[in-house]
Amino acid sequence: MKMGPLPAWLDEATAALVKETVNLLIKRHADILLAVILFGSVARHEERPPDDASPSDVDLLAILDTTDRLVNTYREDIFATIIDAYALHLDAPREVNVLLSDRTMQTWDSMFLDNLARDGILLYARGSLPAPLAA
Amino acid sequence: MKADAHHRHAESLKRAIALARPDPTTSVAIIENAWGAAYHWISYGCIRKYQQHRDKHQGLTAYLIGLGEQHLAQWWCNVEDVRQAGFYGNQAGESEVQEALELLEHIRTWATT
Repeated sequence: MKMGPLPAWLDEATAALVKETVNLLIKRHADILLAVILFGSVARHEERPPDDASPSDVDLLAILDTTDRLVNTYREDIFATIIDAYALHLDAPREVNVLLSDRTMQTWDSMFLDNLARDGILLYARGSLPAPLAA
Repeated sequence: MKADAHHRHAESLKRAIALARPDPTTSVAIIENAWGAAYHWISYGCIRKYQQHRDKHQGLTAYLIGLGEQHLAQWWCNVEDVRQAGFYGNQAGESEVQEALELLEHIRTWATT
């Protein structure tokens, strides 16, 4: 997996939303946030354009320092943070979806993990990645 | 789609959820239906409260924030996470089903009150 920056093919307004989301997650949840990875069609540069009837979303995976996949202790606060980032960039033509994961990633689908490892762009990392992605 | 159609679809999905017996083979389907029902309740509620709605799920989060519905947008993002994790990541256990159904209930209550 390669370390960021955001891909140049991402439009300016969506890129600003992604940066805001990542920065706010780091600022407010530094104690639990281990990594943020861009994955999916935008990472692979296979995205549908912003003016398409169904433009591709931007997919982010946030890996958190917990063994609870649903991150129940922090879940509400994290989604509140994501909404606060959105509110500052309502002009972004693409949605930014944030998928939450625990630090083990042990039960995730192996093909999903392979795709993440192959195509993912690491936007933030604190320490080493979970074993399934570190290889 | 008009308000009554969104209401009808939401109720239909709710019935399908109620009929499903939660086990490892049906949990993805329950979560998918909860996501679909959440979308229809949001559309129904937006028409009821604002006389407008977004007739597709793309861009819904920003749309809801634009309406001043931050909490609803948060629940919607949360449902999206549960759905995607189930669909793409094989994360669809009992806890995920419970989370999806709790979020759906929040959204249904918002839409109907």
